[in-house]
Amino acid sequence: MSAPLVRVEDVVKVYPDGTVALKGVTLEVRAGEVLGLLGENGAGKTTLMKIVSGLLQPTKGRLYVKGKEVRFTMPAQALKMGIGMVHQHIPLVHNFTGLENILLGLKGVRKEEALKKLKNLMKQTGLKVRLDVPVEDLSLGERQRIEILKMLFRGVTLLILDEPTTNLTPVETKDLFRLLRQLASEGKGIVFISHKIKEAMTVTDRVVVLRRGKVVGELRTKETNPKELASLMVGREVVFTYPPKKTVGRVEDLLVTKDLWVTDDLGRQAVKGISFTLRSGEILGIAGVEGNGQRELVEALTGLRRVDKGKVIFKGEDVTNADPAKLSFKGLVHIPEDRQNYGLVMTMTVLENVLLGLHRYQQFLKAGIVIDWNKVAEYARELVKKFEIVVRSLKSPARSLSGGNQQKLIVARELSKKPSVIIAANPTRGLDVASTQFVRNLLIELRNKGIGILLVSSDLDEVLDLSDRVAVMYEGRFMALKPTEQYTMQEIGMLMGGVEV
Amino acid sequence: MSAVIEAIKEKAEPIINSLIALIVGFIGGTLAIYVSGHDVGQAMYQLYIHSIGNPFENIYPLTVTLTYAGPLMLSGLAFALCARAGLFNIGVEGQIYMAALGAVIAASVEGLPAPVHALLIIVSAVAFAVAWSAIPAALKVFRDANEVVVTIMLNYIAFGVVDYIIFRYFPNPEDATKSIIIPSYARIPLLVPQTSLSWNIIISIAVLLVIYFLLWYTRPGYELRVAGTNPKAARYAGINPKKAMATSFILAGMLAGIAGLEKVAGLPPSYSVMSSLSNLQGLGIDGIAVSLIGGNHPLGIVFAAILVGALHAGARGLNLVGIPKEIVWVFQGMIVICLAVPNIYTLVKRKIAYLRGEEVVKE
Repeated sequence: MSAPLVRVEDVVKVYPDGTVALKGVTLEVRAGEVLGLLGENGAGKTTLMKIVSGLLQPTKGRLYVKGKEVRFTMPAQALKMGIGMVHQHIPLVHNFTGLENILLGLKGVRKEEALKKLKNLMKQTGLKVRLDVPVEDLSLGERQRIEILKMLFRGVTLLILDEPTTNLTPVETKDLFRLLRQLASEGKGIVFISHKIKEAMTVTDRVVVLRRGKVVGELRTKETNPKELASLMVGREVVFTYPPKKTVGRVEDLLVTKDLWVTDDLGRQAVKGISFTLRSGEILGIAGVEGNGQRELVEALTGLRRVDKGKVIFKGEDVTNADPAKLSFKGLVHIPEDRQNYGLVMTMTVLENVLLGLHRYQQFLKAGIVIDWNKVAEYARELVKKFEIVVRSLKSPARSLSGGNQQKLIVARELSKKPSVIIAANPTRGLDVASTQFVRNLLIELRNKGIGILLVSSDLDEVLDLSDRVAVMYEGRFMALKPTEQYTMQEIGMLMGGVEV
Repeated sequence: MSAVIEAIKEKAEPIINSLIALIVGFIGGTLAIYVSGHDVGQAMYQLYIHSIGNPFENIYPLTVTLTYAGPLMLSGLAFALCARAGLFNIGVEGQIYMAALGAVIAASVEGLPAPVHALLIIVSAVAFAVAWSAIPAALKVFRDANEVVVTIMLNYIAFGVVDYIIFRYFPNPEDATKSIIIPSYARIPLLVPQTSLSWNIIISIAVLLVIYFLLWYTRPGYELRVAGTNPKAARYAGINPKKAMATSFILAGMLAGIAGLEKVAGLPPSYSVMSSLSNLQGLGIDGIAVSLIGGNHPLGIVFAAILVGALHAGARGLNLVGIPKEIVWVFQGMIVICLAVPNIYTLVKRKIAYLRGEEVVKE
């Protein structure tokens, strides 16, 4: 057999912030096949393919194209070797037409000739796009087809697609799959990055499953089934121990949502009629692959995004579309997913960040307007001591703190508001083991004190370890909502991948 | 120990930035003098003796520097305040014209008791400037219009409108090159007799201290800085970034109003608006330079305004020895350009790392 199109060998990738994304991955892509690259968030799928397409350089390991070892320092070099990647967010120039975008960066290509060649390509592949319309007037599906056409026009032999169905309608998805099969039958290699099991089953010849930067399974699609893929994807490693959960005396409904509908930044329905009740003394976990509406749900509940339809009731009061300050004053606090953009002002001092959201509390104000920095400092010192936040000085900027200490600072500040409901979004993302353990233990202790916690996390272990009940979110809906112990791992994996159980 | 040094480094960073820019600016200015065939030593000497000299023998040069510095502090502060709220407000220039118009119109009112008339002139100057500042504020808050474009255009409009109204309706009957004169009881008194230095400088420093206190020691100031630095975090904390923007525009308008008043009512000998607004022109724009040199910080602005004031004062001396005084704009321009590329060090560092084949994350 001839050499594979691409082979990566023992590739390790460590990001500058210390995150180990790939821990020695070996994998081959052959001509004429559709290879599925399956895994959860953070499994390393995208990182691996960015290395293959020259966007990132591996920390260690080798890369072979058609049997020859190569080193890419930029995507153009990979493209020259016939490797092209279609990213999740497609980088097109919005006010250029499709044709202009395709020709962008190519020198000495005549428009008429290019157009003729593109029309031929479209006829051959059945790929239909309007080339004379500014890209901004095209649907996301059409933009993706332009990007694919661009890659084909440049003669790629290996086409990598990163979560290509995210923004597609079902019909578009079907057409895309047909195209991928056809390209493979013409001898091209296709890599299909996805977390959707059903789609991987439909379109691929072979599946490689990644988990936490390692290959955990390599299977022929014909010889596997959704259940097997699901367990491979979510297989767990037990590292943490937690304080015991205690039941609290009186249980009341704290946060109730009824048929919630929310749109995302692009105007699409991101949350489609979600209803749930969060009770005192419980952790309600929301599991799911990122981008299935969790962020929009959290933002809607915390007053950062408008609710289109439905109701949010907090302690019996309708708080639909209330502003964040009012909510936190009433006892609903938010530990934001994006701590560097929402939770903190990175260039301001630790002291100033402690005041964030507390700045209207009369205890820190003289005559209702002058800030009593001494009182704030006293308060800050207490938080720093209680939560063991490592900080050089209260006058240091927040950005000088480590990720774990930044998160501790936010958690400390929010908890000091004496909340009755905490909405925590990926509260341990990017934290080291000790900080992760600290935050998780704290959440359980708070639950034991009768606080209601909504835990939205794409880290499945976290959700399963901490939650009393779990909802699985997929494409804006809850696939299921029931006590944690009633799920099997396989079932959760399938629900996360959009497979009804 | 090292923690102390680190902490000092953090505090000192903006100051070091400004100092480097000053040095580069002076080198550039010196080169410009040299290339244009003039005597560098002579030029430096002239700049020095006309801006500082020996204050113990002759205080006059220093009073000229401080006379320039007074209004510059306020126009610089007006820019800085908006910058703190995340806005790039070029409109101080036009607001100063409007303040002058307000002062002149009020001055034309007859038959009022002196104290009332004086008060009317002050209020009118500030009100005109604030009203002019409210236009970009409203367009920004309600229509999300780009404040840079709006304020630049409003500067042109203000120039035309103010110049026309003043010299059409309020010309000085005895001297066609100026407007009617601010009555003596409404003038800002002199600080040092026999010079042009009035209480302007004291007023400016007092206003600076007030704004400093407002920004760092009050709730609205805190909200304004949070909103300007990170609008997302502001919303998260229940602060309305638009309200902060509007507040900063209105406050900047007030500062511009006082600056305009200082120019018209606090600067002998004219106590009026000169034709083509020549005694007002450039104050708002120079304020941007002052603010940038001062690190957009009220206390930095004090020093920056004195520095730019000294350059302006020294420029008069250059003319005396036949060196074009425009040279000082080269100094000022070079300094601002150096400050306008704050990330140049990081950029260079990254480029070198990339060429060495080290890790570069792109996303």
